[in-house]
Amino acid sequence: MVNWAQVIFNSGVTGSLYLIGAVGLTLTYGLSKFPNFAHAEFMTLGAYIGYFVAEQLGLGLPLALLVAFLIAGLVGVLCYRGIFQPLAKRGASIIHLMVASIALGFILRHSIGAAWTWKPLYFTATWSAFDAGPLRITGLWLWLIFAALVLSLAMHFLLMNTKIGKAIRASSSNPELALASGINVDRVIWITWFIGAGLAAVAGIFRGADTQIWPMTGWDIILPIFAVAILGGIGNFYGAIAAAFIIGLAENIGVVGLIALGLSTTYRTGIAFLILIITLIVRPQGLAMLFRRA
Amino acid sequence: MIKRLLLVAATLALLIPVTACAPAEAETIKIGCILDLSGDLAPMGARMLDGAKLAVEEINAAGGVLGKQVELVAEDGKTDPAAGLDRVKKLIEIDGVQVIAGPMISGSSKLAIPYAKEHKVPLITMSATAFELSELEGTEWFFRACLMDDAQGRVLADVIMDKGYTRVASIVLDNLYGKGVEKALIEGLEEGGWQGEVVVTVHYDEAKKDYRTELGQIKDSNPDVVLIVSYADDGIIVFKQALEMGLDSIAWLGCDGNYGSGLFKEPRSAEFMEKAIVAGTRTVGSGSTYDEFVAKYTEEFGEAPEIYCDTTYDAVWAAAKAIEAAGVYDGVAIRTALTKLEFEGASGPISFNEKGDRASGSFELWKVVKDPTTETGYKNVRIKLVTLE
Repeated sequence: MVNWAQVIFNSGVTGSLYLIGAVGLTLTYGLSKFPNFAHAEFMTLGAYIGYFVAEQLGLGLPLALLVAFLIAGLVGVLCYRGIFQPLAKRGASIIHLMVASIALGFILRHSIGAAWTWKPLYFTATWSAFDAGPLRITGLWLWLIFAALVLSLAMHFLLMNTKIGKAIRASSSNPELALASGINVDRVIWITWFIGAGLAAVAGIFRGADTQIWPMTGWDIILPIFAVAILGGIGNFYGAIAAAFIIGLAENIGVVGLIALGLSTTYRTGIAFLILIITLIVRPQGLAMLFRRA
Repeated sequence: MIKRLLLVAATLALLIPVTACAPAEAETIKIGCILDLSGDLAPMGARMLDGAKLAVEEINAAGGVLGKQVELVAEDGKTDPAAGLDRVKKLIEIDGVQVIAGPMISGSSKLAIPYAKEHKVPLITMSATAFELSELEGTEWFFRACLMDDAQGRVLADVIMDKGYTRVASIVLDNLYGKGVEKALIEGLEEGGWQGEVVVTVHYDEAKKDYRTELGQIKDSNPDVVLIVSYADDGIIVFKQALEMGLDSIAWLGCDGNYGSGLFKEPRSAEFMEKAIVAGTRTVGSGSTYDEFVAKYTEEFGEAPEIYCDTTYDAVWAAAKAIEAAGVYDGVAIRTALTKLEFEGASGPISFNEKGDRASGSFELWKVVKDPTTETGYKNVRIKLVTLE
């Protein structure tokens, strides 16, 4: 018998990871109008900084999350300021920016490989595992779900109740009008890059602690994260929440189905891809229409 | 007239570099080698390369082959079938090698066999164990210093029948190796008249690196024994997550891919293996040649040889002996010499049957125990030796 409670719980874990990873991608995509493929490497970089702080310096995971958030956020801002903004000012199209981001990703990935080698590394922090009714739960998974919840509430508060949040929404939906109303769009954009890259780092650490880290850590999960951003509607945070859990469910139920059919679970990546393609054909604006307030 | 002269001059100019580059009489005899030094098998591949280096050192100390020194041209197959084939092409086309020790994995071997046949260069694998490779077109160019999955699966089937397990699950790599062992195990059980049920089979993607839901399916099928066929780095994640899922209360069966200290570098993976694995298999050498090899390897590299170091050493030695027997550095002659070759290798007596497969050898059944004297706190120990004729 399939333990559906566990499958749904696992989907929540997967979805939480994808949500944290996708927030930065969808918001920067919405504001800067291009998909940043180096977002994958922001996750990888965060995982390695986290590994450096938690394992090599031995300072523990909470501090690792904080340091990785700050450093990756800074790298995100520098990349935007140093590469994407100058290119955009010189009239670069979405294609130019996209290719530049792929190139940046390569540079980051191989620099990480040169600094830490390409061998997989493991976080050694151990988590207690316990049974709760039909569920098997570990401390790490609870932290991951908790992090996604805190993130959702904080982003909701930020977007709805703060000046910068309102400015992000305004700049995203109509940059010219936002500029004309006296919003410092440039500042809004770099703050968004900071938060987005910082959150990518958090996702990278969670992924690393759950599995392993290597220079392709971010790239391993970039496809479902893109699927979340697109299904949720580019630039739409609330859409991303719904999309993250839809993709999480689809992947996990997909695995159950694939095993029942005697097929390889290799196809599970294909499930996210399938959803992505169907979304692009049927409903390119994603779930955005369902969350108009954002 | 001037035009024609210019044309001739230009043609000459084109030819000069060619004649200048014409190969001089080779100073050394090259033996190609494909090992996976990056990717999921990297920890294993690096140790195996030491085995190959040791063989070359000994061959050269004994005077080389055909009166020349042997040069090992090692390439990284990256635990990726396509990369492995690419490196085989490089060895044959650029380095001009006439015999290759490798490829290390079955996926690369499957792609390399037709290519090796076309270019008439024999391959001697040290660890590609998939049964299917012996059924391929061109398999006469493919020799194995290791035993096949077929044998490995049957040894594991005997363990299941001995211990009286009746509900078998499997979680195996979705490739020739993983599915090969699984198939052999199930066939072995059927032929042995086993009265039980295969409750679930999971074929997983090594690149996915998160197997929670896969493991959940195993748990829900309520097996009493689970077969795991993995490599090292993906195996670590499976074991670590299996421990978190509480799957250590079930008996697990390992294989050669998850043998070795590389699996213990993650403490939860080591803990799980110690608690759950009732038996794993691997090919081993036995006898005095093996003991000598272990002593030399340990002295040279500061650690004991691990899995397939002995067969790598033997594959390189087999290549050298075949070149010497052929009397000429040429793939066709070397292949013919290999078919007649017989010698006492580190991994036991080596000769090849009509399909190029190793004619005999032995398996070890192993488990994992705690050992505070080792760096990781764990080590593999032998339960028993099974010799196949």
